[in-house]
Amino acid sequence: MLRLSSALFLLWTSTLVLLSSARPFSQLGGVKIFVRDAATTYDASDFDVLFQGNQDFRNDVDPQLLKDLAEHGQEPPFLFIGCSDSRVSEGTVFNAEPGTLFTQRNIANRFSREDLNARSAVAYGVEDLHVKHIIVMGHYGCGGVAASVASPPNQPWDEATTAVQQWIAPIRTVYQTSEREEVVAMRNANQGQTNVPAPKLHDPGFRALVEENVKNTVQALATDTIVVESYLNATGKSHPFYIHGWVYDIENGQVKDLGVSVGPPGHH
Amino acid sequence: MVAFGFKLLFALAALSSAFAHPIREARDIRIVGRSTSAVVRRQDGSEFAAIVEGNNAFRASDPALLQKLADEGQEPPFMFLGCSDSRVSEGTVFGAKPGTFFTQRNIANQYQPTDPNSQSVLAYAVSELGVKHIIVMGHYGCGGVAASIASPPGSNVDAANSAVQAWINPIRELLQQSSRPEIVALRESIKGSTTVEEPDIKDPGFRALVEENVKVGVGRIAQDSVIVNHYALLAANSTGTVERRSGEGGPAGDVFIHGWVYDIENGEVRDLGVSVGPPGKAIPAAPFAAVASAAEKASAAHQAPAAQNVEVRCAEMCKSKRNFLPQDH
Repeated sequence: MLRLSSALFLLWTSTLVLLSSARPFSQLGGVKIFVRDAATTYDASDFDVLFQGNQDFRNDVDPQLLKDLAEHGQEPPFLFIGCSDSRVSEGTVFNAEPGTLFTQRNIANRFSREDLNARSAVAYGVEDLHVKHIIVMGHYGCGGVAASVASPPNQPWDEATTAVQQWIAPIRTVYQTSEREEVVAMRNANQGQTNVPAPKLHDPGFRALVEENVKNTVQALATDTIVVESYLNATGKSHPFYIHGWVYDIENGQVKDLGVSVGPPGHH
Repeated sequence: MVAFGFKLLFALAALSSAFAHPIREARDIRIVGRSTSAVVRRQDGSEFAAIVEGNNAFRASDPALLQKLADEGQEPPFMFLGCSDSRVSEGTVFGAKPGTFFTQRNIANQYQPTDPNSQSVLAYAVSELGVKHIIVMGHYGCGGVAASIASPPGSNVDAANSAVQAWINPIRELLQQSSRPEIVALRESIKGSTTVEEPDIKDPGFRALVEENVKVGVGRIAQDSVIVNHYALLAANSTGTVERRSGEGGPAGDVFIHGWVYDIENGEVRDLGVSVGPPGKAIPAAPFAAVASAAEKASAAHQAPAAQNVEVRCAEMCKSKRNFLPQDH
């Protein structure tokens, strides 16, 4: 009697140890790794890396998944609003299967009601695709946020500079008005300087401003007519959705929830 | 003795399972968007489970690359203009490592010079990051293009409908103006009807419109002041002295613009053969198979400055398991 229970106990704990120490590369839970093996090398042609990557994807992906998605249409659980930064492609950093994240990506993951581009994506995600969650994800080291802290380039500006400076102007406003202490400290440190450089990745004020910019986007979304109208109807419809603010750490790939999520009144 | 051993094993098991999950999944959400805030349990976490797992796998795959990109900054070779469609994430369909594509994604991968959003991405990509290739990629079965064919909603138009309809309006215009035979046929077939539904993915007119929408995007980018100015800069420096740009990149380099289409049914990528580059420069060939009939019609249906033909390199690439046959229309 004692031996049987001991043996079972031993079996259970061994299994727990093995499962816990299992590397994420394992096929546990059927996770298919789409990110390529770091050791693979490719020849110097510009596009080969894309061609090979697409080949690998087509070999690894479940062909039935592609067929189903093509036939029945997409039903993504998420609308993703992220930065254009090449280090934060949502398909890559979430190792996402096709059909997961309906995506708007722009410089510094902004949303404003004057921006038809982002607004139409949100509209389609909410009204046509009935996504369950809108994820706004910023990232430390964001070039757009950095540019909002740095002094603007000297005039005259060419069209490219004008386009970027105008796009990040609302983030400059967040920088100038935020009451978050790290941002205030950064502002005070920069006061009176004529050539403020772009801040460094680990600068606490920069990191705080990245987070405040995400919250600003969440706020802009939550108060937009599209969202408000949808929330007003939410009690009648079966698909309420939530808006979340996350930050991605480009140094290690970690994702942090800023805890500013918004949902329709009365839903849990 | 044995009992102690079991206790030790149990303790180890408990400890290791606690450390094995750095991202906590069961996180309470504080709702701040109402008059009173409330803590709620994250509901039905299953959809988050997939992306949390995926992120865990990603983080383990190449940490050295992440650190390098963080320390040195991004230097993506490509800018990607793609559709917001969840089936066409460029990171996924190209198995791309971080640092590959500087990306704008919007409904139906459109570029409009009057759109500050996409223009700022183009501007930053070209003048700050020094991307070498701009890839415009549409996809068959595009919902935005489908909606441009379908009749607009009649009454009961809310803010969401309005935004989508306004955004896709240029594609409606393209449907009306294109001289491509399949699109002409489509136009004729729906003329006068106010109850046109979204077309089937295999509809030739729909597929043609997806392709023409990409080509128009390539043309608009090529004519954008960002590109025009950049090409002028390159021409002015052709004697050898190169200006340094401000920002993260280095000296000004060649920029090429390409139009591709993605097939959501099987993951294939095809080159529409409408690539544009600085005058006088040979355009690097993309190894993706050409969409044959689209390439033929490129010069007839689409005005692109300095358009050059793209030769399809087959060679090593065609040893793959799959066939790359030109799309039949």
